[in-house]
Amino acid sequence: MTVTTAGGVTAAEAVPETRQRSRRGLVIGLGAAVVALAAGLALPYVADTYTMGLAADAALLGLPALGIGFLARHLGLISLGHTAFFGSAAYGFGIAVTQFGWGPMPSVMFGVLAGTAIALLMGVLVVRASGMGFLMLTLALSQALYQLCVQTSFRPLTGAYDGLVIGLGSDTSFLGLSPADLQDPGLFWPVVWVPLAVGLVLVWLVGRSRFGTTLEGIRENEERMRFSGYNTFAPRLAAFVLSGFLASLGGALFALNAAYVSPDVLGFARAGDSLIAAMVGGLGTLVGPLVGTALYVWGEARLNSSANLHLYTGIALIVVLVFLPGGITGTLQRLWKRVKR
Amino acid sequence: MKKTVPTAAIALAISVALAACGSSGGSSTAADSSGADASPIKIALIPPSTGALAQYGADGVKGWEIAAEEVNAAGGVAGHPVELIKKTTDGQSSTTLQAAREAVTRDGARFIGGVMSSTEAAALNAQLAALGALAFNATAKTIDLVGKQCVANSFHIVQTDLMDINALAATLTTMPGTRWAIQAVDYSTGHTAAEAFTKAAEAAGKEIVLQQFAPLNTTDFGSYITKLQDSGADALFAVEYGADGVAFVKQAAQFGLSTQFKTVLGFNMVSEPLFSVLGDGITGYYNNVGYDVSADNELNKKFVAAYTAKYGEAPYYVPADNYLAAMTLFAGIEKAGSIDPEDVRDALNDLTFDSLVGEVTMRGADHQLLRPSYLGQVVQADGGLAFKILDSAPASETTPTPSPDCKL
Repeated sequence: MTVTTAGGVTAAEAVPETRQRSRRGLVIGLGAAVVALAAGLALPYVADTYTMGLAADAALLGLPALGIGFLARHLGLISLGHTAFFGSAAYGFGIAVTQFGWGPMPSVMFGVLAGTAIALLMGVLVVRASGMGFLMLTLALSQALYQLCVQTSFRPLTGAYDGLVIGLGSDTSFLGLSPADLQDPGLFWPVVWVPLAVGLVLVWLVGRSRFGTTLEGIRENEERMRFSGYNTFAPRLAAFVLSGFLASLGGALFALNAAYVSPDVLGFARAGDSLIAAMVGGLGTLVGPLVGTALYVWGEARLNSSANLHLYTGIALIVVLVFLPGGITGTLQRLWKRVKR
Repeated sequence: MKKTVPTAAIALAISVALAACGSSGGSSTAADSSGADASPIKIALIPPSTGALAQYGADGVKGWEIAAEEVNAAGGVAGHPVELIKKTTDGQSSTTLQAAREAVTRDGARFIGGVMSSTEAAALNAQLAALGALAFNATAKTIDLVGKQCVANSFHIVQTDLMDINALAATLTTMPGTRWAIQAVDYSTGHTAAEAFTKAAEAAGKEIVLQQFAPLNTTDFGSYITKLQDSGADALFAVEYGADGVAFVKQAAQFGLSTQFKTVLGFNMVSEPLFSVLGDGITGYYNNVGYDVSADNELNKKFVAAYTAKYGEAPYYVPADNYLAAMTLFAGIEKAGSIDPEDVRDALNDLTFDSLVGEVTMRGADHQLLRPSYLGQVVQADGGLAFKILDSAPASETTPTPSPDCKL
């Protein structure tokens, strides 16, 4: 039910009305992106270390949320599998550092590649499904990956339940940042903010493109698209892989920052939390999942005494489903329209 | 309904905006505190408040509280009062790290204690240099923390698994039973313990017939117990702690496992706070004992008296080891004459001091505190069940040489 609600909000939004207006929208959008990018880069100069730590966490989790939102908005697919790409990339990075002895940059690339490859493999298996089937398949495959990771026989590789400490050599550097710098949220911030901002623009552009329109056609009526001569499998797979790539980027950068990965990153709780965060923020808008993730990270830090976080996420989800269909951003968007009218 | 939507949305938007203000506004509290003379020694405690290890978390804090009250009553450490900053975690390393970051960057903590599990400790170790804080680890026992996961800013107060296993290896030959089964928690603690025990058992002429691992927070041990029954073992080495240990012992009793085994040797499994829950069925169980509550020295007697007076029960290894962690930190501060983490770290290297477990030394090469380990047996005493100390082994016998993986 949420799927259709979320989709319904956007269908009217994303389709440009005329070409001219579309061009103007493009310029405005890109301008806004440049301003946002610059404003974000200035953040470490005004915020303290603690706030920067939260911001960096939110941005790291924002990348998979962006992917989840993209799939939901353009294909109406709700995924519980993005922890798999996030986690595989994080472990990929860790394994490249600890087993292959690679430097941080090639290891990040390897992590992203590993996560994206898993997205491709999983995508071939799941994108034909829709709705509940898709949800359950992504969940099942990501949980299979979790189980694989904690197997006793994989202890030398993944550390199983102990997790993997990723000790970068003190003489290595990533874009000029030493391993100690990478753990300073203020210095690390550009490393995650730039990919997030670029990812946001990428997702926005893809959504506006012909490809995005094709995806929306598939979302609205897959059968009719096929009858009209469209290949519906390849676009869906491509969208899934793009979404998985964003999550992988988040995972590899997360491991780079944390210097430690544990199976939590692949767990069901994390999968559920990131989906709930995205829904609370609003799956129907571009920035909705990011808003939800930022709120979630803030809640994790502020409201988590005695591990009550899930009480609050549960309440937030109920409030959103009952009173704010379309999430926080979706509701704000509706309000804005009402005001304009 | 239509009217409630905008109202609720506006309310939510306002609260979000307020929240954002709240998180960026109150940043001035993290003032630097190492300058002035009587500036407090700020210690963050981050125990789990939920899950299998919550009880231990709460008890660990008690050890720090006794230590803080004691030194504050005596005018502080080197003139600095001690301030405890209490945080909690759900035991997941990400939450623990977040709490640690908050304690350091917002509350100005420079020292961290009370972190419970090996995973949390490993994750924290990776961040300590960036945080500029020292951690004192009084519960996580995995040897990796003084091996490949060791860092200069972390000090290992509790004995490692290997130290405790080595302490009971000598007594192993006299324990009844020749065919041993190993039931362990699927964490590095369980794996190191199982590996070291296998070596010690084989050296003592025993045979290992089964070895199995259950994840932490396992509640149903049925399938594991069935395998234990089928294994034909006549002795059991069990590494299950906290709520898992209780579940395992209780379910094993329901399946009548106790009649099968001539010896049950627990490792970090049976401890004083669980005696009343576990019941008389555990009489005769062996277990490693990290701390001897009846140790005959002044410092221990003072600690036991203060703890018993405040909490109405005698301390056991978790509060005692956390108290010892505090003593270690204070000894370092005394010697350094400073509360700057770097000075304290340097002062602690190879520092020998008198403590509630006798004279101890912080080994500079891997930051392992050299202290004795004990083997105990559960016996019926006046006030119910108690540990009888069967054997004690000094650190010189139990502690392996520093791991070559640890480069400080």
